Amino acid sequence: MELRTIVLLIALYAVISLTAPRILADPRLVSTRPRQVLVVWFISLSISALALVTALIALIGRALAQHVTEDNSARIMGPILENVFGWIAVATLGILVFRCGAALSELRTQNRQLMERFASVSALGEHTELDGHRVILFPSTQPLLLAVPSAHIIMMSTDLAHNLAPDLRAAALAHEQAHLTQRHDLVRAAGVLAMAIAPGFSASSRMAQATRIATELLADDAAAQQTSPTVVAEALVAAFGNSPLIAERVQRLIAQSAS
Amino acid sequence: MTTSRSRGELESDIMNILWASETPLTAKEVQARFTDKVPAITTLITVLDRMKAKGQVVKEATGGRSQTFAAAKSRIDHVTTVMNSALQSADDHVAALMLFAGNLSDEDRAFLRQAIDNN
Repeated sequence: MELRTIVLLIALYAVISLTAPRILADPRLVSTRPRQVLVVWFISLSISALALVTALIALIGRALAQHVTEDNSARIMGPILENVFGWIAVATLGILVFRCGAALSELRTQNRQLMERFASVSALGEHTELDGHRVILFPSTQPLLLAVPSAHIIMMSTDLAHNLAPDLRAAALAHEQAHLTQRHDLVRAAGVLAMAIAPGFSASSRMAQATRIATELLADDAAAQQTSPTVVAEALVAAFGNSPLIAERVQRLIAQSAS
Repeated sequence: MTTSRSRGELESDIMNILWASETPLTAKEVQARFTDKVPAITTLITVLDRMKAKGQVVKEATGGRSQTFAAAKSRIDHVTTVMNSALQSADDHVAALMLFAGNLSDEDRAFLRQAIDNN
């Protein structure tokens, strides 16, 4: 591969990595178009990762070519630089693979530990079907509802199941089902991986944050489509009262129903 | 004798047996109440001791060599404790759990508030 092409690929990676998060992690864009933000971000991430890996492999290939090609010319600096860049590419690729592997391994360990903890709650709960969703009802005096993507289950406390009106309960379950069906765990994991690979890079942490928020809003929107934004907002308020944790989501849903 | 069950499941089954009993049970009595996948007595004793160390069961000496076990907490208290511990152990920023209350941090909510204020 020509040196000019390699430089262009690295430039492409740098431009996408720097500009995509700045454009996409805009609060208004994430709030109004969460799906589009995620789609464009994943396309950008794939293109930039492909460009960088291709450039690094090409640099390694050029360095290796120096050792198998007989060159009788008087060039000295060229081959030396090719080798230096080759070694830098090997080191960069090694660091990327290592960081990616370490982050993946950490994610898997946390998932496994969590599965073990929830297995005991799951075994103590009642496996049932509510509003068309497979749910594990567990005895608790707290208002808890959560999806565990690694086990593909929804868990609901008896307190919440008994205190929510049927239409509000259906909206709450639709929210959790959307997390499972749309595989938001994988979307968030991609954000966590991007942040783990480039921890000091503020753009990657901003994008991981936007990913977290976008998946939460997408689940709200999916539940709102099945019921209505007002019902989802009412379900949040009925479940958690005036908790500050839900204030912004409730306000967004009310704004949606008004428009 | 089949013992193909995860540690978490075995502990839950033991807790269910202890809750169903009005009196404390010996390890042999616990084993006798398993209807399927009956665990070995040595496995049961090991798991019961581990559960005692975790504060899930209480052990009492009855005189002689036998010891009895009883649930340390009521069913609802136990599930609440396990659930709270699981929720606390989950890093909010990791994709392991999706809470209806949301996994948004203070910074995430400030980000969202910006969007609402700009509309």
